[in-house]
Amino acid sequence: MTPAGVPTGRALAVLAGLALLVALAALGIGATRLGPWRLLAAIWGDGLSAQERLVLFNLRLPRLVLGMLAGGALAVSGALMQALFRNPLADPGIIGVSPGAALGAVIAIVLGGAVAPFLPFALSIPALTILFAFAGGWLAVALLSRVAFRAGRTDIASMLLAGIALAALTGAATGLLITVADDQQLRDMNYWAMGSLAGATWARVGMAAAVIVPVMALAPLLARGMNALALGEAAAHHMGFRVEALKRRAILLTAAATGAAVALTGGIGFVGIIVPHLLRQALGPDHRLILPGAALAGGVLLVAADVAARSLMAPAEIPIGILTALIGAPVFLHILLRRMAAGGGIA
Amino acid sequence: MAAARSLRHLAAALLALILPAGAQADAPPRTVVLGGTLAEIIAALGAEDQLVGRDATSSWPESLLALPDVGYLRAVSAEGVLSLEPELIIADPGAGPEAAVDVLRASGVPYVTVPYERSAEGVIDKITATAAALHREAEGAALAARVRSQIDEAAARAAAIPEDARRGVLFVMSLQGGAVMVGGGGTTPDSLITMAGARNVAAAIDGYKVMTDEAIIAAAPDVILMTDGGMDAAMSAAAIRAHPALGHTPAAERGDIVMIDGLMVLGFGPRVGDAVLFLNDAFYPAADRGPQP
Amino acid sequence: MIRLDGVSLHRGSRCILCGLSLDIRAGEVTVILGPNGSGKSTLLAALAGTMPYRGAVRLNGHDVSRCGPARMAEERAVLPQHSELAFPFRVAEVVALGARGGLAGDPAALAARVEALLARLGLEGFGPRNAASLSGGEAQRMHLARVLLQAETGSGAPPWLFLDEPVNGLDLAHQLAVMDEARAFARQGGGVLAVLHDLNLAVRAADRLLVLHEGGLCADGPPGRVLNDALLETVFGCEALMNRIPLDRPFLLVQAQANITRQ
Repeated sequence: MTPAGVPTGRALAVLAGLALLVALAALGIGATRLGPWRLLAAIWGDGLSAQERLVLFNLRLPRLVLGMLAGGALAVSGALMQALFRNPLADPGIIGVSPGAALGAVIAIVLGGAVAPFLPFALSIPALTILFAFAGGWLAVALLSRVAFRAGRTDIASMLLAGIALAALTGAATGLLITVADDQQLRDMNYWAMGSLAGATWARVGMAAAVIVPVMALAPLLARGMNALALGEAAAHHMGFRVEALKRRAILLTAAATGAAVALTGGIGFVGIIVPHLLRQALGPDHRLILPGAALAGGVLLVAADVAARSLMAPAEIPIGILTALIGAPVFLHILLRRMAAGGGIA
Repeated sequence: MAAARSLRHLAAALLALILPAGAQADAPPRTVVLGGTLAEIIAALGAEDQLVGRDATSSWPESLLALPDVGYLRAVSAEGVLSLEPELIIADPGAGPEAAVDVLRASGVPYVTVPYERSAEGVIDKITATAAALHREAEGAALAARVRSQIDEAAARAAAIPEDARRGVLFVMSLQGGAVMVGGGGTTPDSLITMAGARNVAAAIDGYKVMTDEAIIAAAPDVILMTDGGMDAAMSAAAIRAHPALGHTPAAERGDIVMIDGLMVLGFGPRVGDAVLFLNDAFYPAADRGPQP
Repeated sequence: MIRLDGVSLHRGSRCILCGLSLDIRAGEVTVILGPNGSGKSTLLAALAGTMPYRGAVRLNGHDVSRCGPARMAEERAVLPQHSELAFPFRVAEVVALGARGGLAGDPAALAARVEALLARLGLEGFGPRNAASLSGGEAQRMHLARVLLQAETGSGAPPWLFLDEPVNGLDLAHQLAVMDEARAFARQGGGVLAVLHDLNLAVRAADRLLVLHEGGLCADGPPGRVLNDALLETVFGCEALMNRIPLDRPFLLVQAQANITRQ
């Protein structure tokens, strides 16, 4: 129990139960006729056909795990950024990671064919896209942090403004690449920007897990510091936290988790805003609860959205980024209006 | 339900063992097609009935639109394809994403990739390969022969036109916001224009790009070729004549503006022969074609 | 005990406090006074470990310039004039953020301690409320509860309370309540160092006044001895009527026009 009486263990158990339910739905719902009952029967030993096994183990299961990881990564990143910037509308885009990753992906899609022969290792365009997107996210964060890092302090306001400049720069670079892209590359860019879990393979799940699982494990260690930051940087320092280290760690974890999620699933937006917001509404703002909770709830939201994305227009799919934006944009406006009504302003 | 299906599969497998190969020819495999020109070829081969699904680019002939859509060619849903219980998948090499194609290949359903090359020979090869995959070699040979004779006729007509009498053509893809997007070298319209015995004045541009107004005037096209925009009001002869650059080209001043069905000019399919002959007729109307050989 | 030895503070290239040496004792309330720009808050920040300085400062024997924030947080707690709060924490959660040591990991004991502190500061039953809904006076008492919890659970011997203009914007009753709490903390052996603006409040709350002026310490001692007409005129640029009853806690009535051109 936290001092205010929030039953920590119970809240996390409820989220884990939800995750289990959504997982069952994700495994049991799809275009092929492999429903939940057939699935349960399979657990009791009633064998599945080869094709059913293929659908279950090579399509639905990797997709479920990737969704859980990516959703959790985006939600935890969002919670960290909101704590760092002390604003419930902050998202990982603020530190440049998503625009940087997007630019990296676009470069790989458009120029990958030309660049690949000169690389010391053989990589397909999709693999190159993952690599470039991840590297692009890191580079952007490194650049922004350098701009904002002066006299041993990370100046949050400078970081925000530099982020606006960076977004404009990546937008211009993307525009330039669009003019040289062919039709198919344009389509690929479009689909990448809308995000999808469709590319989920066990190899991708492995890459995501290697980065995201450590972040999910480390993020709760920052929870007390993030709570103290709610009182301002000076107060957090007075309360014994090394604020600069705290900021750097939060940025590092966010760059890693969001970079991996965006590189592997494309531009899925708003998860980092919706999930922490709903959790704060339900459980209060204590980050000792929000950070582990977001790791679970982000996965639940993204996997649920993915079930909808591949069922609503079956046998075709809706890009999942469209669904998260459809849910997320109204939530964003709702938070904004409430803050303005409370006289809180937007900054 | 599932048990009944596996029984049916078992029976089919047993039959295949007992009966000599080819005995199933009267039950053509349930087929999913990924790729617009492949779908066109399949329809032209008279095999449309065996299609059970298609990708979003497979939109001609229009009767295909009634089939379930498994997503855009580059964003195909693997489970969506499998849910249609196909016995054959015929796909363009561009089908994707990679992960979905990997799963489809692993599913045990025969997955045939038909090579794609943007040339007359490429179309013939595509028809032959598709016909082979469908075991419709005879229909394939007939279709290939028809396309070949059309292309040969176009080539003969083109050869009869002296080099200096070839008309300069500009393919205008879109006029959105006044910016003229043209078909440069390496595009399907570029190939078709050349095959029809004309020259693409935008050949120096690579792919579909916006051409600057001054370059358009300098290129001085004799003919402007554009797709039949349908509802797009920006794509009309009036819009060409009103355009500050296009309006001052010989083509606009003489009214040599040719409209063509977009599906015909943008893909290299079985209608390529029709398209080339249509363009040849349009670029060189009988009146000013000069003495025939 | 806080020992300053040749401490200098700079604002840009200008020296605003030059070569200050003095001891500040625990068990009493020490109030820093001085006109605007005399370096009161800067000095407090330097002693709290958040502002670079030249010279030596030892807080309970620790060299402040070598202490990390965690060590400093054990020795002293800081109450600023105004605290922000980014998320809708409950009152009890905000207070509990101050807890250090074993108490921070013992939810039941922590909850009881927080409840007791809130009751002591007249905020009984406020624990489950949204901290953002409090009035200015209630919020400042909540934050006082938080820093008191930090000072009481830290390992500092003695613990120190640094108050930086803690009563600005509060009504009279709340001003007195905050300063009375500080005096109670000092009576139990803790050290209190406060920056105040209101001379009368300073006189009422302080055991010792430090008056900063033109780069140095221009007066140091109990309020009854430090405050006099000359000091008011030279340091604060105004004339005031001084009521010297009681003798140790004089009462000021500002009488004449301010004369700030002297500064």
